[in-house]
Amino acid sequence: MKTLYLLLVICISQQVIAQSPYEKAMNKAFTSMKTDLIEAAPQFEQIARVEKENWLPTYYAAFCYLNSSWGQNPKDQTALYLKKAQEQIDNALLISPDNAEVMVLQALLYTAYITMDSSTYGMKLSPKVTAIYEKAMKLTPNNPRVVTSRAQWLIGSAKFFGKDITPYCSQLDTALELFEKETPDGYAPRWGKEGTIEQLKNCQ
Amino acid sequence: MKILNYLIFFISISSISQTSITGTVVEPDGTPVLGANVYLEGTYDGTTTNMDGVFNFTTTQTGAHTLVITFIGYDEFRHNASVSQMQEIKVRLRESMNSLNTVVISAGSFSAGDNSKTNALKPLDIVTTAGALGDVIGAFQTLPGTSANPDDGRLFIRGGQADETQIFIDGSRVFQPFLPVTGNIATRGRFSPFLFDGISFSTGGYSAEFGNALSGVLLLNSTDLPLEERTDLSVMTVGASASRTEIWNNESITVNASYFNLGPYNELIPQNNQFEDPYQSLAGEAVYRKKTNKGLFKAYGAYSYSDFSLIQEDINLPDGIFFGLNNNNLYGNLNYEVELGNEWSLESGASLSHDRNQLKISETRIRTQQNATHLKVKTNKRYSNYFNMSYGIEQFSINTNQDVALTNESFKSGITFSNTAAYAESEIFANKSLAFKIGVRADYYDHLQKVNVSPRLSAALSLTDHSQVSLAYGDFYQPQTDQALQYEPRLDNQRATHFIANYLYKKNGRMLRIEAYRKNYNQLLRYDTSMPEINSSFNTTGDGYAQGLDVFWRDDKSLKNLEYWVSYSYLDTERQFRNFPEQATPNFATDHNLSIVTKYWVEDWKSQLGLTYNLASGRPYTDPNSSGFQNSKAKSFQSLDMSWAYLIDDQKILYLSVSNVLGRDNVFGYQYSNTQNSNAQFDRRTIGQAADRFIFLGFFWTIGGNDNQLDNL
Repeated sequence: MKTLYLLLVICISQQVIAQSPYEKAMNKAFTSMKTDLIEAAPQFEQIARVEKENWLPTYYAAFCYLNSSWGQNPKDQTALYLKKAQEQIDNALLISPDNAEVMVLQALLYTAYITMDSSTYGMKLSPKVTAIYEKAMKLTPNNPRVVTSRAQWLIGSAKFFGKDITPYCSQLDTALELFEKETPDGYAPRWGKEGTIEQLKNCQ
Repeated sequence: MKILNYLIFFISISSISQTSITGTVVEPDGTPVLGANVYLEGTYDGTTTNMDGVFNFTTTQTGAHTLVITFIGYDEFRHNASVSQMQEIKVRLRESMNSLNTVVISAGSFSAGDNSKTNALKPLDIVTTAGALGDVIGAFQTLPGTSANPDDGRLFIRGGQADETQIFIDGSRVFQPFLPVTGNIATRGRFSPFLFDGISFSTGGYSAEFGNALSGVLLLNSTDLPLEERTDLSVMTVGASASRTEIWNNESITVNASYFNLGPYNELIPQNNQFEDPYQSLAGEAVYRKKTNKGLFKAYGAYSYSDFSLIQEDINLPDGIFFGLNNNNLYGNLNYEVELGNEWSLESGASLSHDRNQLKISETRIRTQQNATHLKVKTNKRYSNYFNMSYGIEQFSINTNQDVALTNESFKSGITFSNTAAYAESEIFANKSLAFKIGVRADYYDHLQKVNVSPRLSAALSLTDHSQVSLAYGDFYQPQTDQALQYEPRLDNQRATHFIANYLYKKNGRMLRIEAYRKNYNQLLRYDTSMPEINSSFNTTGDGYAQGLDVFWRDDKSLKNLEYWVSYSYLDTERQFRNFPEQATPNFATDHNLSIVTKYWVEDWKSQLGLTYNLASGRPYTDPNSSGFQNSKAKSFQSLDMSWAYLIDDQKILYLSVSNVLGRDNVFGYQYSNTQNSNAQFDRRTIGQAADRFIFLGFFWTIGGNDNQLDNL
């Protein structure tokens, strides 16, 4: 009987160790994220309100809003999602200043504004995007998301001016190598590899 | 057995402490909300609503907690109660107000450079509008409500004189915003257009925050902390300039210097003015930014020197009149904006200006000097999304001195002016479709020892998701011109009353704005001499009116790579003022004004081509050869301007602009001889444009970072 009791206790506590409420909530939000970004975003926001010192939930909330903004949405809708994403990025940067992962989101968010309406936002935001990538590169030169996002931004402007994009393509190769080396680390950001492969096709 | 008991005990404990929380969430019209996020604040306990808007989850929490329900596009719902009381909760969400779905008070105003509903110009339009030549003010001349006065260059709004419009940088007044010119040359704003990232322009009915302007305000907001260090060089047919931005931590400094000299240009391109010394100017600007914990400090300083001299034609003097001018201007502006917490914010600003002119007109020498300061503090409290209050106080001090030296005598005159003002304004949203703005402003004028109270009211109502109507009413006071006050300081303030009705439609890159207005003028200045003089007899019994219709259409969508806008203004105005013998339309007001601005991007040429067409119907003037006052009209003003911006690469731009491509001989009026000729007729001289065409060629080069020169286009 004693053994049974012990076993029970161990089982229960193991389950607790296996999935803390934080992990449970994060896993649930990640599951939602696969099918519906707009459903996932508020879940991450909710987690962020509990996890006041953790930048990851707010990072993913921003990520969801930002990625829902792309595509065929009307301009009004896009602007609304971008505004929500900006709020989350601001929160993430308060918790974790000088975080290159968050800076990449900020740069992508500005890029989304420029894509949406270049003559309103181009002049104001393009220099900021460039500056953010330069700063992020200084902080974490080996972060594949920093390397690939920066390279894709530079390819965009080089293409516009009919300039050679080869130097930036080689940066995409570097990014790909860095992605290969990346090891899973909890909920740390892991995205970007597929986009890099997609972009590399344009380099050939 | 004992253990089994324990187990049962445990299970029962946990089932006792599990409270279930249930309810339904609906939209304002009662439709169930699917996918609203429901949770207890600060915990992981929560769920999302199902297709029927129903939520149901259990929690082990006890006691008082906050239930939070969020759904994008709706205000967050919060309910504070004991967990045991959270059953069968019925929640009706309130649609949240954001810049996209909420009505804006748009009567009278335009904005440039933001994404709001009233946005009419994009930041780039200020530099790329053909004919505007990078002048901060130039692009606004193509908006409705302005009368084209290309021989002046300042803003003439709805039958008002140029000095009825005040210009503010970060809320502080700019006392001498324009470069001094003469000879029908259009003036320019003193400020670099790249210093600003949000501009709002009001042609009437503006906020109680602004006073001493009868007709309009132009509000320039300077840029925030820059993120990139850079050097900019430019070489132009008329001069050169250089600028450098340095950044460290949360501070930045930008300095620029420019030198312009029209001498070489005047040699090449024929001018209608006979310059003795060509126009030249030397200017420097410095901008400092510091980001603090919760605020931003901005400092701006500018110095400029300019001089020129020319022989002005005159029908009465065959040799013309010598006119020489040199001007020194120093301007400083400090601004600090801070969030105080609890939805309070504070902004304080100060501007200082020192301006010195030395004029030589024929043998007369005139020196004028003006020192002016403006101090201002304003606070804003946001009580909710539906109610917002702002309060402010400000103080103006302006001292103007004039020293006139004739060949054998000289006299001095001057005026010291001070004005203290306070205002309060509230913005109230009944819902997202109906908004009111109620403000009042009180100004105390030292020279009159009098208080003027000006109410300002406006309201807006959404008609559909993309259209709205808006109304505005306001009283506006402005002191009389210094020219008169220096001789007669007790002249009462001029007054204007505005009534505005506005319709705005905006959808997917297309915008239509129609505005009708009526403006009544009272207490305008009258005198009995040709100019305000020491011997003039002054009074303020003048009055007048202006009424009309402004139409603006912008379309960035219909044709690929083409952006265009069309502005049309109809103006009916008459006044009895200055030395007018009767009520009449002044010569700066034109009945019809039309501007068509187009910009076309040619991908293969990496070029933006711009064409602007301006038309203003003829200006009234008095022909002494027939009877009556303002009895004739000059022919219409028309100008076709073009610009071509070529992106050589991502750091270099070549820019060519030609104003009045067709070389139309525009006439602004006539000067008649003082005496009759042998046929008992008064001879006349045409007052025409400074040059048939203006050609500008510039090369702009940015060094530093991975800058994208496209951004400057």
